[in-house]
Amino acid sequence: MSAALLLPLAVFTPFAAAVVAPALGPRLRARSGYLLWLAFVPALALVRYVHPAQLGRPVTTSLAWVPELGLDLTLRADGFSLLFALLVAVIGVLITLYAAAYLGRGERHGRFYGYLLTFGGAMLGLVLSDDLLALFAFWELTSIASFLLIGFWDSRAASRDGAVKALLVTAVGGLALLVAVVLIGIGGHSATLSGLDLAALRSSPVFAPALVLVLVAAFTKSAQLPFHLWLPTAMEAPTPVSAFLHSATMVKAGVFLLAKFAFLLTGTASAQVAMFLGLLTMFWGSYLALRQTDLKALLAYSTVSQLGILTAMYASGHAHGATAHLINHAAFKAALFLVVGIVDHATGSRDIRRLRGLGRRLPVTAALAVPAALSMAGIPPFGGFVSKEMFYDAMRHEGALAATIAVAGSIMTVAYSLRFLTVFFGPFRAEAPELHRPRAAFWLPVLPLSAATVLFGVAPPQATLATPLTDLASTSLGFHAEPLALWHGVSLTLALSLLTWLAGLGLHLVRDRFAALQEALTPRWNANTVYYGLLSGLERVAGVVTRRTQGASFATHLRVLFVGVAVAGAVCGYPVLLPKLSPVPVDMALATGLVAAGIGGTLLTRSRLSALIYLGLAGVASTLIFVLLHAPDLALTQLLVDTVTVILFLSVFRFLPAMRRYTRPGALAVLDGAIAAGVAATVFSALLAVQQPIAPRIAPFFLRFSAALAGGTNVVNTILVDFRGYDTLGEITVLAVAALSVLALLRLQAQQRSEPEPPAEGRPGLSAGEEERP
Amino acid sequence: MSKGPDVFFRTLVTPIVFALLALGFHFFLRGHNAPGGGFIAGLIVAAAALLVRMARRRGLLRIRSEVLMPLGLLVALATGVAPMLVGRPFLTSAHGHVHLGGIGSVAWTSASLFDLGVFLVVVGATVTIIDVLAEEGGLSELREPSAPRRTDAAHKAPAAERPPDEGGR
Repeated sequence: MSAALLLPLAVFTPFAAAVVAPALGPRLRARSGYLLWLAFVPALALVRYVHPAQLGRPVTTSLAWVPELGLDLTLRADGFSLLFALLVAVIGVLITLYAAAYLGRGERHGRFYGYLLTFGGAMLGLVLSDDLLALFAFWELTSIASFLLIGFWDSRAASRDGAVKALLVTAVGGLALLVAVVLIGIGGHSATLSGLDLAALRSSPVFAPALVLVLVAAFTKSAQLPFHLWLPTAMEAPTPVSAFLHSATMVKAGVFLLAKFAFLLTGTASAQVAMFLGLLTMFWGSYLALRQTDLKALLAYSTVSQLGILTAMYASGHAHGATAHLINHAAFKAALFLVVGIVDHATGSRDIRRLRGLGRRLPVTAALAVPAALSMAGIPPFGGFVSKEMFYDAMRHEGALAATIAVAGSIMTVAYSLRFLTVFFGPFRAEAPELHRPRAAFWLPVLPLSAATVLFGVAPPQATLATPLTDLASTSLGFHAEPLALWHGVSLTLALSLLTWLAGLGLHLVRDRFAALQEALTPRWNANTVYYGLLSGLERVAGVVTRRTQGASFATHLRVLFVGVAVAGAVCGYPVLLPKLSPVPVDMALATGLVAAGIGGTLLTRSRLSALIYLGLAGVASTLIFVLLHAPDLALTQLLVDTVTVILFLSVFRFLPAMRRYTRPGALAVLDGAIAAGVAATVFSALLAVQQPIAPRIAPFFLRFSAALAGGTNVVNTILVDFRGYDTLGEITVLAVAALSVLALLRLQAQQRSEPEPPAEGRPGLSAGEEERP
Repeated sequence: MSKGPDVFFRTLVTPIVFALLALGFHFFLRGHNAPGGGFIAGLIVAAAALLVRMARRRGLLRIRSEVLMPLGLLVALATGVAPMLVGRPFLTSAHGHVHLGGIGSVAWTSASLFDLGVFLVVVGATVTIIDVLAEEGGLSELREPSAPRRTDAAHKAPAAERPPDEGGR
């Protein structure tokens, strides 16, 4: 199969399956998963591009997306994208299979699989798209899918809260990314990642802001300080979702972005900031993970911490070790989440304090958990050790401070990994003495992940796909590949590792006293209190603004609107336009004065009859203006319209209620007068703006060609009935419709009035049901 | 209304209305080459209709004024469609001179026909609004006291004063 077909298939098959899923849900229930995992097969097939010959030769294909806008959907599988796509596909398959065993009978299966596969497609699209805007679109789509999946159990308040929190935080990043891709596109003269002119981008003024925005996007998505708060609450999602989105794939989208832009980042101050933020996240995440009593929460904070490692390594340009760790983390963290799902199902609890000795009752589960947890702790001979060593190497390279933070965080990592394992050892204790053993379908999908954590450590480098994938990925990012090896020889790094294990073990042994210390040190405020404070502050501000602007009287409303108009005019209009004024001829000033007098009289008089006469005066004065401007047609029309209107108004005004005068306090009258003057000035400058020539005037054309083309010398008329006949046709249609509406309204009203009053009880001709109505 | 309009007004209205109608006709005809045209002519006729209303308390026209609107639209539209029959774009105009033997020649334009449509719509719209306000809108000053409301036969108008020939209006 050619790349032109395979790449789009890989991205869009999950979407297609997501459409099918709701139809399967009611029939196959959870078992739909045994069919739907096939949606990831095209993505799995991308594995055929993983061989050394593919180095430096990315697979590309382009689809017309919105051809009218010149938007193409360019898919491009370079080594790093390939790595991510395979990660998504493999974990996606395993999660879908796991979900088939995990989901209960009463769930909304169609919806669950629909969301899950939508996410899978979006994630594949995100990692494979070369087009900057498509990248953004898929990025947002993953946020939305994540929101839907976290809130899947939407009857629980905690789920809803977690979903909203995740969406709000990642939406901030999404907005940042949108601006960033636009800036990068402008600065790099290309709409595609691969087509960017890097030299131009680096020297362009948008480079710095774009870089910061990319970092914001990456940090929100990957839950880095200070945006880490959404990830732990996202654990309200069903466990397969936590494993798939919130540890193995989606949260790594931020790291993915960071890695893709690492070539821009290296050597900048932002890189240093990002690296230290990553390290702090790693430290803080480990510290908080140690405090958790919920297995899933422990893993959540551990994920925050591990993402910090990845951020620090990619930001500091150690892409190779980062990529190795990325693969390792995906394997062990997904395995651990799925193990927690099994434990939760078997015992009905996830509380570390209440679970002990599960290994005796759930031996398979324990066997799957141990290598994964040890890999997380960075203990040899598991995969995590290999990449942890590379992390130490990298941080030693970055200086003593970085290395110290890294070791301190890792010590706590060892401690919480051991704490995780305590539930499997010791004498048995659980809430539910009746354990139901997991079916094979439950733990089988975990097996490959757990096996991988072992294999990545002990297998010869080329035997697993990890090495060629990592090589391919880091070279595509523009970094050199280094050998992955378990044994690096005796070095300071090894010594640091030994220190880490011993200290971690020690910390684990004094965990109770350390927990008490943590309890005592609990800060008064944290990211969550800030989040809720911001949220309630926003609500308060919105309330105040709404009360001030929406709840006001109509008059206040108008004042606010008109002040806006006046200010807009003062800012944009007057400075440009008012200097262009020229002196007004005397006759024109007189005529305008008459109009003003008419309007003023209308406003000030107490009798409606005089108001009408004043109105007539204003109309006649406008006619005079047209005469002065040598526009006899307009003058005639104005005169006639005014005459007919005044007479018609005279004949109906007897029916109008008496005029009332509205008085207002003097200060308010002054204010309103000022607002009115401001609005008038704005309207005036707007009219003036319309007068500014922006194109050659069209009037000479009509004057020249009126007789020749339209056979008439009255240009006004030839424009009306010939040059712009189409407009006139539309206008007379509107006129006719308006008149017919008046006719219909008045005649219908008259008919209703003339209908005989129905008797009070029971109308003849109505059905019994209608009679019942009040 | 017990008292009718002033007798002088009623007497003078007839010549004034004729003068207005002639003026409207004049403005319509000269419109293509001098101030005027269908719109202005239509408004002049509307003013005449209003005068008739005020003096005689009945309509200027013997036909239902609302019919004029679709008629005018049809005329305008036909002027637009006609050129399409000979393969020209919609609303293409034509003009020329008709030679009348030894007397001279008369200029014509197809746009005048379009203008006639405008005229009819304007007259129809304004007179309809005046009529409907007078008859249905409760403007008894403008309605013949004897005339029944078209939709309200049982209304206050005394049946004895109703002339037998006024049913159609």
